[in-house]
Amino acid sequence: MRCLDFKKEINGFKVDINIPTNTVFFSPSGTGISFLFSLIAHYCLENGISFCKIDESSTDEVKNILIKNRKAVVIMLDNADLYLNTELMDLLDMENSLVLIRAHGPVINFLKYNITPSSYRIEFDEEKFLLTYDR
Amino acid sequence: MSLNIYLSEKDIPEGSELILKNNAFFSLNTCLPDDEFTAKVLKELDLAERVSSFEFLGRNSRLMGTLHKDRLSTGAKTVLNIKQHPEKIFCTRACPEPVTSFIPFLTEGNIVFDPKSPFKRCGINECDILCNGIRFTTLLDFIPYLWDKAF
Repeated sequence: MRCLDFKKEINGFKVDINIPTNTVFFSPSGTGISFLFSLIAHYCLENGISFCKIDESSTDEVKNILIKNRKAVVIMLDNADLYLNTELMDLLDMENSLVLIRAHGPVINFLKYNITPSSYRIEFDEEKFLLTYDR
Repeated sequence: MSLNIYLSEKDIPEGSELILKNNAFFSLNTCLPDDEFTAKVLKELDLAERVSSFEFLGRNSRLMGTLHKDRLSTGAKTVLNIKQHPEKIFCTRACPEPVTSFIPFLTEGNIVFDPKSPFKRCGINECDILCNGIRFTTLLDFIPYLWDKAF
């Protein structure tokens, strides 16, 4: 299983992200998870890390996108309540990818896939975005 | 007029259009009018401030400047969709908390809300909800009804 741990300054904006394991974020809308995924995508692009970022706008093609990006190092599924199911979960390589899911409810049995609910602290203000793993 | 709440997609009237992709719908059909409701949604859900029909200042405006409306959260976009398009039915699966926190301020429109989803209250009890043919005027009546339907 991969992890993400980086500190970076983007246009004066301090970013500090530590995600050691596959994670489902149950954070409410407006707390910055979509923004977090954008920051991770930015970091991956800059560092040549393969990634795949999916949201509900890709609903009709999620399966094809996941098949094509099976080997991506980081896979981010935003607003997953709208499309995630066990068939799609079975396409993910949970051992070799870092899988990050944002959902509002237990749309599937995440425990079966060895994904535990996140325990993170987010500090998001006009100068910084800090995501700290709490346990 | 009332806010129609359907507890399942199976309950929506035949021929009605259900909007699942709130972000995409917002991008094409919804803007940021200069009114109190929009200001409240932006401020309370995204710590943001309206600039124009298409722009806003976010919580990190000093560094990021003015942002396009498409950068708002899914929750803020969904609440604005519901307010500005009362003839359509919107799915709230991806953002139950923001939508429920604005229910007292939505007196018309249509949503599908899973009764098992989290329900965030804003502190105001009065509402105008029509659900399964029953009209609710207080959340103290509506929330127990939801629980009853959930389990």
